Amino acid sequence: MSLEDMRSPEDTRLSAYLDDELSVSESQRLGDRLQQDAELQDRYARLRGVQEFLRSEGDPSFQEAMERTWHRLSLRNFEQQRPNWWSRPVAVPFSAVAAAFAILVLVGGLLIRFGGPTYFSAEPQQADRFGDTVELSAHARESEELLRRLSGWESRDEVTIQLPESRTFEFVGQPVIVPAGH
Amino acid sequence: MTREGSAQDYFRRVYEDVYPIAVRIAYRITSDIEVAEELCHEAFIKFLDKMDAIPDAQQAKYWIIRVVKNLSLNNQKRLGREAVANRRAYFEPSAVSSETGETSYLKREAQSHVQQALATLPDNLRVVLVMKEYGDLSYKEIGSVLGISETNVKVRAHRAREKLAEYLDGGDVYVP
Repeated sequence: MSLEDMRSPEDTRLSAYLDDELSVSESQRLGDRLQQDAELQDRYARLRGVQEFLRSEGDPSFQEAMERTWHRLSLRNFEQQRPNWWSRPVAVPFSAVAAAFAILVLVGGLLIRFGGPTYFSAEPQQADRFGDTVELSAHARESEELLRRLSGWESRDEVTIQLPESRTFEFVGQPVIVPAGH
Repeated sequence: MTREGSAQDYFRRVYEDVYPIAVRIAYRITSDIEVAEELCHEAFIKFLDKMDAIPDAQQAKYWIIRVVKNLSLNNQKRLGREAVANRRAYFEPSAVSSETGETSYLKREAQSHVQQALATLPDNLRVVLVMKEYGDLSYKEIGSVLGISETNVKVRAHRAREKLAEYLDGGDVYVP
């Protein structure tokens, strides 16, 4: 609101009075003042003159335009015009997105914290006969765990470690000989 | 008013309620009944696509009037830019219009006095006055359409009338 408007709040009220936008009590008060104040009457008449000028030329008829537009809209097969439900835009509140993200982080954290090793295959069965082969797969990061299990597994004869065939696989450090019984 | 019945019924209800207001507002901004019709057609096509996201008929009314208002003002700006470009292309280096006094007079006469007077107002004041006088919207509704407070609407309506009063005081315009 500019300084000019702050200086003339009464004029602004006059405009609102003209538009019938004042409360009943405000309207009554201003109506009473208008009866007594000639200068206020002039200002009101000025605004009223503008309103009468604006209303002096009636609107052209829009009935035909309305019917024509409806006809054109009807030609656009109504149901086909509307996109399928899966391609309609959906408004998702920001709070819902934030809550979903928080839940995702929480569940992920819990899985990391309490989840067991996920890369080991099932506990290998003991070989029943001489020459049987038992396969055990483990993630490279859990090689220590693999060695611990192998050391507790009796009657092992030969251990073959097959490295993954992956471009992303890298050797880190030198091979280490692990003594039997470790 | 909330959405009831089929989508087509809802669209029809909104159309019958809002079209008469929207086309008046478009006409008073563009001064051209055919352009106003086209802009309303465009606005209702947009609404058809958006309808599922606006299930409340009152909000739909505000939305459509806002779209019509924006389309109308954009149309006027485009016309203004085109007029400037045409002048530059055909009349440079002279900035003087080649229209004769008679042509210019006839063009002005073809446009109503009221439309000429409204065209002198800045967009933000003209839009409020047009919505009030020709859209018959309350201050509250105008505020909802434009995203401004009722007090702001009241001030703009008054400023618009003041400016028009000055315009009418200064010109040879017949005031009933």
